[in-house]
Amino acid sequence: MSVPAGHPLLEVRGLCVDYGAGPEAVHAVIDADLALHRGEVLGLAGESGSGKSTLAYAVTRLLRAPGMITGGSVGYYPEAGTAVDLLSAQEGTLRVLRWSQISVVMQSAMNALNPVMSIGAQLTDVLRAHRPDISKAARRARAADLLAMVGIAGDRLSSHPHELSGGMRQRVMIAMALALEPQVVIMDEPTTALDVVTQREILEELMALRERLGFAVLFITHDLSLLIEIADSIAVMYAGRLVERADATALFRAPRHPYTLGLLSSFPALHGPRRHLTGIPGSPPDLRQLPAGCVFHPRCSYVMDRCRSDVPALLPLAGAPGRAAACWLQDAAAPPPPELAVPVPGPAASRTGSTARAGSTR
Amino acid sequence: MTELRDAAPAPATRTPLLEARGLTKHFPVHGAAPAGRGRRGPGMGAGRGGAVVHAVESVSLALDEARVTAVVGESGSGKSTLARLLCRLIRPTSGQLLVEGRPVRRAGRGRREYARRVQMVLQDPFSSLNPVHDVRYHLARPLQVHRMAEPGAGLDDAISGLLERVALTPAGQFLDKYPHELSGGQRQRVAIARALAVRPRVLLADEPVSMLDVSIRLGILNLLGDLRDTERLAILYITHDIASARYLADTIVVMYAGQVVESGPAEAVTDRPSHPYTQLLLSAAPDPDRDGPPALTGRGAPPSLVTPPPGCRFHPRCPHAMAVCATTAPPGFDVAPGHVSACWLHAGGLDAAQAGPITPHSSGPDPEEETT
Repeated sequence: MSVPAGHPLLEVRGLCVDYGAGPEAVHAVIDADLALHRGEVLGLAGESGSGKSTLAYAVTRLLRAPGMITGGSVGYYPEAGTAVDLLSAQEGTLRVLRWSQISVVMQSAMNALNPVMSIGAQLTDVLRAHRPDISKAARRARAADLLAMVGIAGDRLSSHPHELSGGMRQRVMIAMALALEPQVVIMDEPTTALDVVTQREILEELMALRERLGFAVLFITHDLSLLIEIADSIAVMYAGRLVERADATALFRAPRHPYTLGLLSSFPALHGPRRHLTGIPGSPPDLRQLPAGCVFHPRCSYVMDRCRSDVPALLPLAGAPGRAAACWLQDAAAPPPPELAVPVPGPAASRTGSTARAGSTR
Repeated sequence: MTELRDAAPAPATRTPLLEARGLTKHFPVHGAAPAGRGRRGPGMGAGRGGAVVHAVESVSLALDEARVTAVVGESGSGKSTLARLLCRLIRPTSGQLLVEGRPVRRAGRGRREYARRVQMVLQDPFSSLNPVHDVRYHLARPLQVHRMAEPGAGLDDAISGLLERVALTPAGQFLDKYPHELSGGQRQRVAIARALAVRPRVLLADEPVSMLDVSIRLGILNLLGDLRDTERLAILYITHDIASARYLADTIVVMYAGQVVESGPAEAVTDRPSHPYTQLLLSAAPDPDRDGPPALTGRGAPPSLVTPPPGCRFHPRCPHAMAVCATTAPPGFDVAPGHVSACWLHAGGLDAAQAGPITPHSSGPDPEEETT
């Protein structure tokens, strides 16, 4: 594992998830290695069907049949207490850990909130289940505090989900996820259905809360351009495999995997001259009929013979601590093409450089 | 006087292929009599007793040959209602549509003629194609209905030609496929081919890429760009993604709460936004090039469209709101040639815009850099 100093809070090793069994099984996540550090925002980027949500559900053992974890380990290393392997933990252990240590913000707040319960009842329900010792009045007060924390007036406790806007519902989801001050918050496309202004407000709040409460975030999204702005480090998934892992700035300025490069050039810029962009030719593969060798090779413009037969492993890159890429171009047999070998900008040249605004949290 | 004429500078003398003048759509809130349906006269539906949603308010815009006009706005801004009005799927409460300069009559007559000129591509190719029919059927229907091709070999040739125009080649591979056998990008290409079947002059694309995977969005955007250039289609590109509008469009029209707040050449609008709402949108848009977290230039959410705020609809959120904004809706003011902003800050016209408090980069008369 190429992890920076300090033990990760959550360590995923060799995780494999299948849907179905036998020869028909679809391999949704293959051999995923990931490390989430204390207080870090780790972005998981990928297109639909890349396995990013499956990975998150597997890590939290929320995966439903026919999804099956077929290999690997997920270590949770809390600050106090003993390490737990989440994949082999008993239900009872999980029940204690979930929400109080590891919580999840689901993709669709509309569906994740109970439509026939008031917001207050749903918030106090969490507290009642995990903190049975506190009084009803105290729970109510805590629920109001939680709402205030995400910028919603306390009198909204008696509102039902349908009375709230999409942005407010998502804020309630975040408040609920933070109710027990967890160490890890897993967010699965938390702002995808929202308008950009609302999305930005919620992300601002989230980052401020992270500063204050110190939780780590696994942030799952298809929007790599957003992730580059908010994440500390990013892992890119394609067709069930992690293809690149790097610090956010390094990934943006100096991608090492052709898929990352293609994704980055799929987002038109907001400034500068308008350039013709090509995106990535073809479409993501059918997971039932994955191509042999590197899963990306049919769409890759740098494809070599080897890519068609041998699967590249996600290996640490020489001379780039904390970075890994699964690409034969990076195996040091030959120098990679210049666009996949852009030097990583030093800290001074990155976006915290001379033109940075004051108050950058990075 | 809330009209804002879109004036794309390049083909100024040409008659727009499709033009909307003061298009307004009010939807009755439940309980009120249905508006704009049945055989009632124009403009009678709205405002009679029951409350209405002011979905689109006096929008004027022109779609020119071989130009892409992007309508950018958040959900609820009225951009999809506008597309439906332009496609005549719904009737306007008031306002006028002109096809190649000729007013469109309101009666149902001429619908087919209209559909031959103006076609629409919907957002979701997973639901806009019929799952029980194959690609051949989807493309044959418009050709048959509009008598665009002879039955038999002529029809097959026409269908193959359509598939080639949207780069689904070899066409034979796709003819017998059903929607579930196609990827999202391929489905959207079939939907575009279907719209092209009647050889329209105007294509209305309502969020055509927002349901697609990131890596294939550009393929569809580039296809729309090619159709503009090679077939000289007038394209309306509706989106919430201002970066993609900047990429594809010649002209950008920004909508807020049912009204056009700013319009102009694409790069002028994104690089020198003059309306505070456009500035807010741009400050919130994801941008990896940004140095550090963005400073949002506003807060809050769009207003209720049943009781929209008086005056400028953006004034409750506007960091620059003045007394006049709360009372009087701003008309469109020119901030540069072809660049119009419905904001009182620009009331002085071009001169004031240059000295304006919120557009430090506004450069006055600006020779438009065309990218076609």
